[in-house]
Amino acid sequence: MYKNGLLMVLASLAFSGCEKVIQVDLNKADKRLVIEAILTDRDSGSFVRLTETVDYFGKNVFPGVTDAVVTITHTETARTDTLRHSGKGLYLKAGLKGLHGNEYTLRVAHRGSVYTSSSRMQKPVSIDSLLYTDQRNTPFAFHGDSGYYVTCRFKDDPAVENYYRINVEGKRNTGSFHGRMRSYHLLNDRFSNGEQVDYFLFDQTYDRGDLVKVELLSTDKAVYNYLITLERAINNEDGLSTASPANPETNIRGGALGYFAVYSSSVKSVTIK
Amino acid sequence: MSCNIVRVLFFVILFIIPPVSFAQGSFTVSGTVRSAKDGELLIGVPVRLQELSGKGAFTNEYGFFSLTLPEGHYTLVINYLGYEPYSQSFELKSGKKIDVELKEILRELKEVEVTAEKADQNVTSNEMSVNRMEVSEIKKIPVLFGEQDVLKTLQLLPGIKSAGEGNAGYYVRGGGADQNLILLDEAPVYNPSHLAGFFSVFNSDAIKDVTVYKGGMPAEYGGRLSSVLDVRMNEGNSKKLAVNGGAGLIFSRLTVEAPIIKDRSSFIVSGRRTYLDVFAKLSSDSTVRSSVFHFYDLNIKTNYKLNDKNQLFLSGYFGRDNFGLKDLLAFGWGNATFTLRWNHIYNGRLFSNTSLVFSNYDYLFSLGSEGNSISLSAGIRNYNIKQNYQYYVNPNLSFKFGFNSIYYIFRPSEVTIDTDNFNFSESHKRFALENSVYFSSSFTVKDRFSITPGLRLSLFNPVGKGQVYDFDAEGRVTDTTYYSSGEIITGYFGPEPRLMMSWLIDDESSLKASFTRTYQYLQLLSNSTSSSPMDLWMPSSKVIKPQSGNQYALGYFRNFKGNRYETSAEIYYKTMDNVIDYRNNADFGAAETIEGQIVQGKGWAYGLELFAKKKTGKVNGWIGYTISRTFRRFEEINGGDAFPAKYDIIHDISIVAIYDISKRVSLSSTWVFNTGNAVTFPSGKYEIDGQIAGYYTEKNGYRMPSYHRMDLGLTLYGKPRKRYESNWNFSVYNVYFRDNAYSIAFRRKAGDPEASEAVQITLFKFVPSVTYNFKF
Repeated sequence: MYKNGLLMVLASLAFSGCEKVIQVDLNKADKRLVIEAILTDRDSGSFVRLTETVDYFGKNVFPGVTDAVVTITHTETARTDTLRHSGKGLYLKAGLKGLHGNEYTLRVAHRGSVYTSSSRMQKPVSIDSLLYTDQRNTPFAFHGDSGYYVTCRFKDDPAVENYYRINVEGKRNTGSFHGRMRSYHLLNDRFSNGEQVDYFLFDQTYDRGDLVKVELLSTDKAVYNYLITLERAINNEDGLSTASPANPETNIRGGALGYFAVYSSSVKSVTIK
Repeated sequence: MSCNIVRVLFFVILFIIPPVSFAQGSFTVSGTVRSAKDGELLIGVPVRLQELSGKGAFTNEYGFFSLTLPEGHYTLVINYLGYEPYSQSFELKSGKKIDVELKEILRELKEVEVTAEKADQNVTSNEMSVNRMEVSEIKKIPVLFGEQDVLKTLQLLPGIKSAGEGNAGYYVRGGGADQNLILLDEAPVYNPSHLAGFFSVFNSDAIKDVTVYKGGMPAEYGGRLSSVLDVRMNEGNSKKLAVNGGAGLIFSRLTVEAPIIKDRSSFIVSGRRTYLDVFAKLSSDSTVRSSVFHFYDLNIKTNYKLNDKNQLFLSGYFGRDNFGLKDLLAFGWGNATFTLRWNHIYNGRLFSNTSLVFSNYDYLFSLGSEGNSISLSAGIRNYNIKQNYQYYVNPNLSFKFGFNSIYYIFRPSEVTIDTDNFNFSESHKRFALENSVYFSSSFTVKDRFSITPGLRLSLFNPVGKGQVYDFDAEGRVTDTTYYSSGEIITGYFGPEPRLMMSWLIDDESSLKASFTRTYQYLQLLSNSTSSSPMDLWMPSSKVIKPQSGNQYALGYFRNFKGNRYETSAEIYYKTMDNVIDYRNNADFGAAETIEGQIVQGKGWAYGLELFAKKKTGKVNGWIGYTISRTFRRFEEINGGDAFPAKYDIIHDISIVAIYDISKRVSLSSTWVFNTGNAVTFPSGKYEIDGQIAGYYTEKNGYRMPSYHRMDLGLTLYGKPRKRYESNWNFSVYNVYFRDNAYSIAFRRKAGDPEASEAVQITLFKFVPSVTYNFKF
C-alpha cells in the first residue's frame, strides 16, 4: 500500500501544476460575415448559411444574417438562381443542384459589400465497395472491444487532381450505445494518382450489427485547402498543438469568413456482419 | 564572378593580416595551466608578466598558453579566481616550457579574498557578448527538482531566455531555439534536452567549462545564426582516484575518475539515471510494473599525453530517454557523440588541434511488438573533421586558422509496418556536405586598442542520392528529380566576415564593438509550440535557402574594487534573412514534402543588456536586465505585415544571490521576471461546418501573462573529513506559489457546450527537492 502512496507522492511532486479558468482580455473585434455555402449534385443538400462572428466569451449562439441577397450563377448558361431566406440565416432554393464539370459562382450582397466565390463541380468518383476487417488483435486495436474498421475502396481518376472529403455516419442499434457517430476525412491523390485507393477509416471502430454509411465527395483544391486549414484551426483546443493558429484559407473574395463548397457525391452503406 | 570573389578575398586577407615584424632575439615561453588537485586543464586563465606591466595571454580551450618575448628576465604571474596566486621568475634565453599547477583555495578559506591588480578578463579580453562559467560556480544555484543544469543557469544571464517553464531550451538575442549551436567537446548536440525539455542532457558532474557566445562569434565557429554554446567535459583526475556522486529526486549520479598513468593519462566515467521506474517496479498494478520510463546520460573521456608536444583526448557521450508500456508502445530518443582529438605543439608558438567528430540523434516510436508493429523513426547524423591552428607571434599578435568538413545524413522519417498480412517500409534519407575554412588574427595596437578581424567561408552542398521535389507557390509538389549517390544537388556559399574591437579606456574599463555575419544551413522543423523529441532537423535544399544573419554589438565594461564587482552594458542590433516559419495552419503530414510547408522571410532584433556581478565574498551573485524586441515578416503570414516573434520577451530580469552564512551553510536564491510570450488568441468565434472556430485577427497580437518566480536553495556541508566530503542540498522551486501560465487554451466550457472559456495550465507551483552529494 505505502509503495503506491510513495509513487503518488512522487508523481504529485513532479506535477504539482494545475488547470484553472482565467479571465483573458480579448480585443473587441468588428463582426465579420461568415458564409457557409454548399452546392451538391444531389436533389437536396444545397444551401447557403449566413451568420456573424460573436465575442469569444459570449454564448455559442450565432445570429443569422437575414437581409442579404444570395445568388448562384451557372457560368456555362449564365443562368442565375436567387436563394430565399428561410429563417435563421439559411438561404434555400428548391431543386437547386449542380452539373458535373460546370462552374458556379456564389454572390452574397450584404450591407453594401459583395462577396463572391467560384468553384467547378468535379466529375464524381464512385465508391467501388466498403470493406471491413477485424483488427482486434493488431496494433490498431485502440478502441476497446469493438474491433471492426471500415475501408472505403475507390479508383482515383488519373486525368485530374482529385480532392476528396469522406463523410462517415455509423448507426448503432446494439450494445450499450445507441445512436449515430459522425466524422469526416480529407484526402487528395498527391501520392495515389490513378490508383485504386483503399482508404482506412481509422478513427472509428464498429460492432456487428452497426450500419455504416460512407459518402465520397469530390471537390476542388480551394475547398480542400479550406477544410484542411479549418480542421487544424479547430483542433487547437489545448493551445499547444498548432505552431501557427490562423483563420482557415477561404475561397471567398471580399473579406468574409467561411467557404463555398461544390461537391459531387457517391454514397454506399454496409452493415457489419 | 569567381574572379571577383578572389579579388575581394585578397583584400580581406590583406586587412586581416596586420603588418608583422618578427623581432630577432625573441624566445617563446609556453606551457599549460592545470589544477593541482585533479590535474584538469584550466581554460581562460590569465597568464601575465610583471615586467610587461601585466601584459600576457589567456590559456586556450586546452589550457595552453604561449608568449614570445625578447630575451630577458621575467616573472610570470597568475591570479585566477578560486585558486591561490602563483608567480614564477625565469630567465628567457631560449625556448622555455612552464607547466603551472594552481592550488585551489579551500572552501573554508574563501573569506580570504584574492586581489588582482589588473582588471579581469571581461574588461581586458578582446571578446564581448560572451559568458563563461565554470561548473563549480553553478552548483549552489537552486533549480527545478534540485538538478543542477548548465542550460538553465545560462537562462539567468541577460540576452538568454528560457523556452518555457522549467525548460532547458533557450533563445538568444531574439533568435530561434534552433539557431543555437550546442557543442559538447566539439560534437554538435542536436537535441539538448530530456523529457519534455525539463532537463538538459548535460550532467554537470562531467562538465568542466561552459562558454556561450551571444554575439561577436570567433571565426572558428559557424553554422548557426544566434549563438554558440561550447561545453567542455572534464578530462579526468590525473592525480588520484576520485569518486563523487549523489542522489536526488530525479537522478542518481556517479562519477569515477582516476589516473591511468600518473600525470600522463587519466579517464573519467560519469553517469546519471532517473529512477522513478524503480519505484514503479514495486507497484501492485501489472501495467505500471511493466512500463518503462527512464532516461540516462553517460559521459566518458580519456586522455593520453604522448610527450610534451602531443596529447590525445577521446570523449564520448551517450544519452537516451525510454518510455514504454508493455508490448503496446515504445518511444525512445537520444544523442550519441564521439570526439577524438589530437593536440600538437609545433614549437611553442604554433598550437594545433585536430578533431574527428561523430554525432547522432534519433528517435523511434513504435506500436505493437515484433512481427506485428508499426514504427516511425527519424534522425540526423554527422561525421566531422576539424583542424584548428593557433599561432602566437608575440603577446600583441596571434593568428587562428583552420578548416572544418562535415558530412550529414538526415533521416527525416522512416515508416515501417510489419504485420502478418502487410509489410511496408519507407525512408527518405538526405545527404549534405558542409565545408568551411577560417582565418582570424588578433593584435594589439599601442597597448590599449585590440582588434580581431576574421573571415569564415562556408560552402554547403546537399548531395544525392535521393528524390528532390519542386513546389509551387502553395507548397504543392510540381516536379521530382532523382539524384544519384554523391551527385551535387545545389550549393550555397557563405562569406562570413567577423570583426571584434576593444579599447581599454583605463585599467578597469573598456569599450568594445563587434560585427558578426553567420550562415545557417540546417533548420529544426517543429509542429508544436513547445520543443519535442520529434522535431526534425532538415538541411537547406533547392527549396529552403540558408538563413543568414548580421549582428552589430557595442559594449561598455567596467570593474570596480579590484575586480570584486563586474558590470557591463551591451546593445545589439541584428538582422536575419531567410528565417523560417510555417504556412498558416501548416500540414506536417508527409515528411518528404514538408519543405512545401515552410515559408522564409526576414527577422530583426535589438536590445540592451545590463549586467552586474559580485564575484567574491560571503555574499555574491549577479543581476541581469534585458530590454529587447524581435520581429519577423513573411509575405505569406499575417497578410505580409511584420509581427513580434513568439519569444519577443520585452523585459527580462534575473537576480541570483548566494550567501555563505558559515563554513558549512550556504543559502542561495534566484528571482526571475519576464514579459509574457507573444501569442495568437482568438478575438471572436463563429460556427462553420457544425463546429465552432476561433476568429483570429492578428498573429502574435496578444501576450501571455508576465512570468515571475523565486527559488531558494540551502546547502549544508558535512563535517570535513580527511577523505570524505558530503553535502545536503535542499531547494524549493517557485517559493511563493506563483501561478505562471504554461499555456492558455480556448475551448468550449466544460459542462456548458453553449459557452466558451479560457483555461490556463500551470506546471510547477512550489516544488521542493532534496539532493545528497558525496565525494571521496
